[in-house]
Amino acid sequence: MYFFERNEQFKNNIACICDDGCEYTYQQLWDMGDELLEEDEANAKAGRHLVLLQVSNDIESLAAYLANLRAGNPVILMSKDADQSLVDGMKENYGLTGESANSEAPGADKLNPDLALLLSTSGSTGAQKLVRLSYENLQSNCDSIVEYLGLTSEERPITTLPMEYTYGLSVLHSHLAVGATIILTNKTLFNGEFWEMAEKYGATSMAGVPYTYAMYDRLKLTQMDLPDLKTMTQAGGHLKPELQEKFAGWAAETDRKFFVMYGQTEATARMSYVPPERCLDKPGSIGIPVPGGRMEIVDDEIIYYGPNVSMGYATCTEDLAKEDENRGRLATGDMGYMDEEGYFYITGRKKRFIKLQGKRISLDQIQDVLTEELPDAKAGALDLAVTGEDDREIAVWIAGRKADNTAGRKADSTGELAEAIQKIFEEKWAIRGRMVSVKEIDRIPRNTSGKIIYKELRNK
Amino acid sequence: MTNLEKYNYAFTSNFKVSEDELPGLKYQEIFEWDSVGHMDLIADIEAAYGIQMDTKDVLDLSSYEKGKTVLAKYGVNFDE
Repeated sequence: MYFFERNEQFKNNIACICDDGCEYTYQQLWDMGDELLEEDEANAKAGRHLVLLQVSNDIESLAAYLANLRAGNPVILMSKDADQSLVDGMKENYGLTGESANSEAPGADKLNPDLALLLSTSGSTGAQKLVRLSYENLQSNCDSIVEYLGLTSEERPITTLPMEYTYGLSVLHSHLAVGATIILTNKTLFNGEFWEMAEKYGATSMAGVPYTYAMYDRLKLTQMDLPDLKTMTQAGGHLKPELQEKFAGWAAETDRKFFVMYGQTEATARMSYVPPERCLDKPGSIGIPVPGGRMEIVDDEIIYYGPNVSMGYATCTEDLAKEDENRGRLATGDMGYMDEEGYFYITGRKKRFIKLQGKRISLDQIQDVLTEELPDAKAGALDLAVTGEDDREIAVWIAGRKADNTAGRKADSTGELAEAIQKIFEEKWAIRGRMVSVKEIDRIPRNTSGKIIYKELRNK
Repeated sequence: MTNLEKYNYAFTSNFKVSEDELPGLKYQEIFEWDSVGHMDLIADIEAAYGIQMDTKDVLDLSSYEKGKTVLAKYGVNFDE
């Protein structure tokens, strides 16, 4: 039985405690989901169909999501805060534009029978490329997580990540599977109410991407009085060694568990983890494969095998009918090695992707978009290159292509260009301007075949 | 810079707002002042006055006005 249909087993357990202090049992969560589905008459008539849900960490979002999974409707998850233009673009791309979207949505004939969920790989950036996940993907990854974290119905995780983000969603799935109580909140770590809820309802675990851990550190989490907090999990990119050491050390001293983990949306959520007792002596490692999974190195690349490997990608409605293209094998795109004890390490990325505050971003894509959006670049008068590292400032290197163009350039025109570039980052990818530094150089280094030599830029 | 100028600059430089937009400005009210922006704001304020804020005060600094009250505790006088 799937994790989203265990209401008989857990019906009297509290499923969620919400921002307003209201508690909902598993049965109430189920009933609310049924009501939300029934309210939509078109939905009832449509049969199995594609659904786009805009969600946040609230009870209605969770109830509607679970009800659609039960009804067999594949779900595209987006944030409630997503720009309307991004939502409209997504709807248009996947045939959800009808007056009554549900009645005209792609139906059973256009949807692979195994298709359960469609997630963007880049968080809230609204990229229309989606990962196709099956019911089996969701359930198998959920089972693995329950096993290696040792989850029981006694757990009370508090939400720290968005629901539409694969890691945040996996926290919900794995705890619903065991009848645990989720403290479901949209409060951020800098809202005092977040910590009041954590204390009052006895949060037992917190998740976080590297930036979340920088915040935990700033807020001196390790000095807070949270006796029920027993487990910390970390994924979504490489945690700075000093923070890993700090949290792993604190956990070891205070009888807590700190899990460093590795995953991708393409593998539903998680692929490997470091058993907490090894966290201090395996710094920088992404650990060993999750139960049910296997990893190996092929040509320096980490390859993962397991039932949680997604069916493939979708970029248009037609792709939703496609079969499982990956067949349980995922080339992660991460370069790495395995040590003599079977622990894996990442050394770099095959393609130019970086993680920024948990979002996966393609530097090549940014480069292409900037070239298209900046009139001078499009006209060929401006050459540009984009470089960056995980959770560091992104650098946009610009160079005038013609001598007379750069010679006459005044300082303030560079300033204007920098502002225009920062504006594009904010609008297209919701990356704040100050995460972007614009650097003017004489020329962009290119090799004889015209390819940018990024190494030279990084050394500047 | 006076203490008030330093304080205002922490907001205007981080959140791209003008000084006349500062009164009444609250955490999460604008895109720039989210949790990431808050981390940067606190770091700049601490550097500007050479102080280390307690967790409670980092959380209490939830609006432009509240920040002034919080900083008074650290001896920052805005009349100077």
